[in-house]
Amino acid sequence: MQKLSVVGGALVIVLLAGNLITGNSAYIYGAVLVAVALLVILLVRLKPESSIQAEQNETHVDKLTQENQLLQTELQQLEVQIQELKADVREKDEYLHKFAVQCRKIAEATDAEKILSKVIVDKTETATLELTNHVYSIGDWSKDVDDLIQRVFGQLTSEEGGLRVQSVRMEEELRRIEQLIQEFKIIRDDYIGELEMIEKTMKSVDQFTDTITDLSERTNVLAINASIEAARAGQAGRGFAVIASEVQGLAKSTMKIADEISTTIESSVHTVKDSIGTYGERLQNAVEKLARSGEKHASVIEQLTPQIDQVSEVIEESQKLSSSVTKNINDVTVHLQYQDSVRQILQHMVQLFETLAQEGTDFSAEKVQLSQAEIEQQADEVRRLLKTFFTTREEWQAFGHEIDEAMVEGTEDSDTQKKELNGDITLF
Amino acid sequence: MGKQILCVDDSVTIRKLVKKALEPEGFEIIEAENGQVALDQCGKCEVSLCIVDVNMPVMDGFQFVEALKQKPEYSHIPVVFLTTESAAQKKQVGKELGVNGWIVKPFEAPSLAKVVKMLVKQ
Repeated sequence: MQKLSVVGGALVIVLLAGNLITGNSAYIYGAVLVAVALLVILLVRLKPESSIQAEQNETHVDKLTQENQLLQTELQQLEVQIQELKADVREKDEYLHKFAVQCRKIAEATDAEKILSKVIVDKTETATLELTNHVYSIGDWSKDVDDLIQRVFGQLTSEEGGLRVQSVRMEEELRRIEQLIQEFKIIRDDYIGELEMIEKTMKSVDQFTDTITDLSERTNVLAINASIEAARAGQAGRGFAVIASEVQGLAKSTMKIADEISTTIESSVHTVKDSIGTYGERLQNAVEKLARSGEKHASVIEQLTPQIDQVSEVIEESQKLSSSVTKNINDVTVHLQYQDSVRQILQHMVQLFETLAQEGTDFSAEKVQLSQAEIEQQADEVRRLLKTFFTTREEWQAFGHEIDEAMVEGTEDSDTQKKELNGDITLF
Repeated sequence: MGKQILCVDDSVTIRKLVKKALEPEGFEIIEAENGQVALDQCGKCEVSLCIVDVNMPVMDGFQFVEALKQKPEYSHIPVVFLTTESAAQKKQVGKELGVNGWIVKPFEAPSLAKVVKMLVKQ
């Protein structure tokens, strides 16, 4: 209060001094305004001390009451927050526990995945190996077939003794047969011509014998007449009679010879005629046989040529097929190797899951300790869940379970049915 | 009998394919399913070349080559990796180990045969 009075008085004095120095009336107004304000304040402040104290106490109590209410409110809020936090912590604990349980399940599932991954690898490895063996068997068979074709048909088309060479030889043979036929025809014609000449000559000789016969008959007559005349001449014609007798004998002999010649020639003419007929016919037959043989040769050659061409085509096709099979097998073997890539990728996936599962398990183990019973329970749950997915015997066997026949693909069929139907077939 | 080639791979199929690719070329194929078995085989055979996978159980390809090169009696044997791995970093590791080649699967039989012939100087 005193400080306020001093400060107010000082301010009034300063304002008045300002009026005196500057002559500005504004300072006076200012001084009056400050003085009035100071007076009002002083009047207000100048109350009884007890009243002020009581007022102050009242104010203080009010203040404390308000503060108390505020604190009560804050306390309630804090209690609510504590309850919320406790609930939050419980919830988080539950989450953490669930997380630990899930991590355990994931760890169990990762182990199971590792086992299943091995089943996949083993099954695909076995299948790929089987496939590889079959593919190579096909290749071997293809090669064997090609070798056989090359060996068998190759001989047929080889340059030494092959069908084509035989065909060429047959063509040469055919040309020789044709030449032979022509030569035979000439021989036949010459032979027949010569026989006809012989026949003509013989007929000429026969005519000649007729002349001789005629001559000998006339000689005989002449000799008879000479004998008669010699008999008339008596002793003088005795010698002439002997000559006549000899001439008559000669004429008879001549006639006899002429008859024999005639008979012989007649026989020869028959023989020659028969010969012309027989040998001419034989020659004709031989020519015809050769001609037929030639025709057969030509027919065989005609049929053989396209067949030889077909054999060559078969050999060529077989080589192409064998090469194609070899190339395809090489391509297939390249693709078969992707099984190895799949195996590697599966291993990488398993490694990744193992790492993540281990990290999760380690992290949760720091916060939550699962009991052995809980761990076993999670393992059981994972195994139970897995069983619902099993479709193959290998899956059951991989986990050491007894196979549930109702759950796996296919059933154990009777031997009879297996013999009748190949593969895993079930008829309803 | 032809020169002996040691094929080290945990895949039976790959070993079979290598065998089928090289036997017609006159090579005899010795098989091993991992590096450890391969080292044992080296002591039993006159190996002219090793064809090795990288990723294998028990002893992988890198460990096998490292062990092989440390043995004076085997260090001269040429080695080719046959693997699905194709990263330059891994190839560099192989090169530093002293391998002679790196074939990425899948391989073609004629190409493998050519590489093997070149390395064993048949």
